[in-house]
Amino acid sequence: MTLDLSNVSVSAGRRMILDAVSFSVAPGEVLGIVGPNGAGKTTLLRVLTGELVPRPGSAKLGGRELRSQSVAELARQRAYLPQQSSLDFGFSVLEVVLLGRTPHRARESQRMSLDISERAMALCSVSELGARPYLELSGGEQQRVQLARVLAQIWEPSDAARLLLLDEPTASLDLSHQHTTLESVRRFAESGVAVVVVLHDLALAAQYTDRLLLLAGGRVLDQGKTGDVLTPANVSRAFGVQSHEITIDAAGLRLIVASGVNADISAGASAASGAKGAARANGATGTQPPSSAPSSGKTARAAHVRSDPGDPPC
Amino acid sequence: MTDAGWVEARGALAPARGEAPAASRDRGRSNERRRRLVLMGLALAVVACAAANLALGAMHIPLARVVAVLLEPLGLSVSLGLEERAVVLAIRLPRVLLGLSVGAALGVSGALMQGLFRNPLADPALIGVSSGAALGAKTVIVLGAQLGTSLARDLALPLSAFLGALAVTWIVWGLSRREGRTDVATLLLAGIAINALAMALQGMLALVASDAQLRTLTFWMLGSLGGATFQSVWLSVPGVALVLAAAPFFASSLNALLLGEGDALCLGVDVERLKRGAVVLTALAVGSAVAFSGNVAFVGLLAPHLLRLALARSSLALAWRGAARRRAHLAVGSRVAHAARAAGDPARHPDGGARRPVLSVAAAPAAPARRHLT
Repeated sequence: MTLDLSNVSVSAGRRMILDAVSFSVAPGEVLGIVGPNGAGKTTLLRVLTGELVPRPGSAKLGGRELRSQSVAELARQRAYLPQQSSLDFGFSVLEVVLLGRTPHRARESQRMSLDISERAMALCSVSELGARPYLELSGGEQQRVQLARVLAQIWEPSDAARLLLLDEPTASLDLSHQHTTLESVRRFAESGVAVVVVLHDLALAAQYTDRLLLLAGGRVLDQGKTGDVLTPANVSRAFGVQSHEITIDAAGLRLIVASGVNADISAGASAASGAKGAARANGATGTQPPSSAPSSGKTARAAHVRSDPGDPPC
Repeated sequence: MTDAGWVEARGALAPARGEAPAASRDRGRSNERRRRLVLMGLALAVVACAAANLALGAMHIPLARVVAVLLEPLGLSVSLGLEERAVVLAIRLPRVLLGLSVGAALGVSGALMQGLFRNPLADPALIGVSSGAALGAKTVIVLGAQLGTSLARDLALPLSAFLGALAVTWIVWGLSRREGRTDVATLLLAGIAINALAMALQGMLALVASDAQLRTLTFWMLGSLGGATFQSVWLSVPGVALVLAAAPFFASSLNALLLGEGDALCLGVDVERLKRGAVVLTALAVGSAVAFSGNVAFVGLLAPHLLRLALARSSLALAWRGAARRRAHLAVGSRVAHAARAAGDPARHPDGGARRPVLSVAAAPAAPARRHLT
């Protein structure tokens, strides 16, 4: 296993942000993390980057505790793409991608760095943008360039474990780029990289993840094969919405859609997963408090909530 | 994308059809060529400016004779006038060397600051580092009369300027950071506040200064290379050289820091150590420069930007380039100021007497560039 988490808990003061989370990811596997805002997804990613040390609990990358590895050592094995990257300087696209090779700068030639960066750009279909100034790109293009940067960071197969962490990589992308991006990620995973990706779009999660971790109120509500976890019952429980399953035979797809906030169910979720998570879950899908929320929505919509505000520091 | 587009090559994922990467590689190469040309041109400009500064002035000395004077210690004996030798060696040469040192110091510290604050507007003068150094230096000018020998005074001056610059950088940096991020508005406000405080303290120093000290202080505020002696050159150069030698090692980490502290950490950069290092280097460079040249400001903010424009908007933090550019710029500024004064006041002794304010003239050639930036 590339990544092993057992019994990971993180608390801020008396509040539990993560409560006994355990899972593992194998090389080549794509694990999706879904859950309502405030469920602890970002905190979990911060544990995986090594920024937060879980107490108690253990987080191992390649069989070694994250906390025992140096910043430089970790940088060669795991790459992290935050929800938003801020870069106010006029680098060219190629230079931004080259930044991904920073941890390897001391031990490889410029030629090699350039070579890997170009291949990462090709994989993310941004080769054509190479010489363009980064700041002149559209938001979606910038997002794909940043993805190329983190792929370049852990590009070469090595004996060491490789872990790719993505926080909402499709947030600012149009439909077609959402799919090409996640296809690139899948393809990259096939070279032996373990991928952990936070997604809000359940339809995308259904199509591009091998396994799914459903997080609510800091606890694992369910985990397993994506098809097994994505059920109307689970989605209702985690997000506090009424949800239904629809099947699109032509595409071989099974999707979950939501049709409004369900007061009863969210009350149940709050009992199961702590008041904070459930309250946020309600806030995400409806603006009214649970007691006065309408029990059924007029129009069905996909169980899709906006991403949390503010990107986490690594 | 289909499987056919990809092969396992050299154990790594590789695109089988390499057209697009090849195209971007060509562009990369032409960028590299352009970069080299620009840097070579700037290096030549530095040499040309230095030569012009040695040859031209109120007293015209042909370039060939300047070279002869410089080569004299190597055993080439040429018959030279005493006056020529004195003007070149005692007045112009230290001025040129100090100009190079100050320009390099401010250029590098501008690039370091902009990287450290992740803000293209950061500049040693703008956020108060220069005025911190000035306060430190002025304290020595006014209150340091008790320090017996002139060597002790000259040593105390850069040291005090360095400490002033370090203190201000530290304070501004501390004030402008909240939850691990540098807040731009707070950064500028803190810089302006510290500037005001330093100015007030400088005003208090002016109140207790003697007439002669006041005159020194005034030229100080305008910035000048006129007082350059070999002693000031030797005292300024080591600090600047240290910063120039160290800066390239910070380049790739500073570039990574531009992505944000979190991203830099994920790229294996020891962010806290990097920031401490950059703060100390900046203070050292600004202190070493400001102690002997006064407030030469403004060029610092622009040098990295001009260079980036010239290099097709490429990397900021390769600080050496900032240094090259700034040296040329400052030398030109000094040259213009020099000529202006000499033309306006030809009766005075060639190259002697009053110092020329560098700041105002150095700003002039930069003005159109600033228009271009906005």
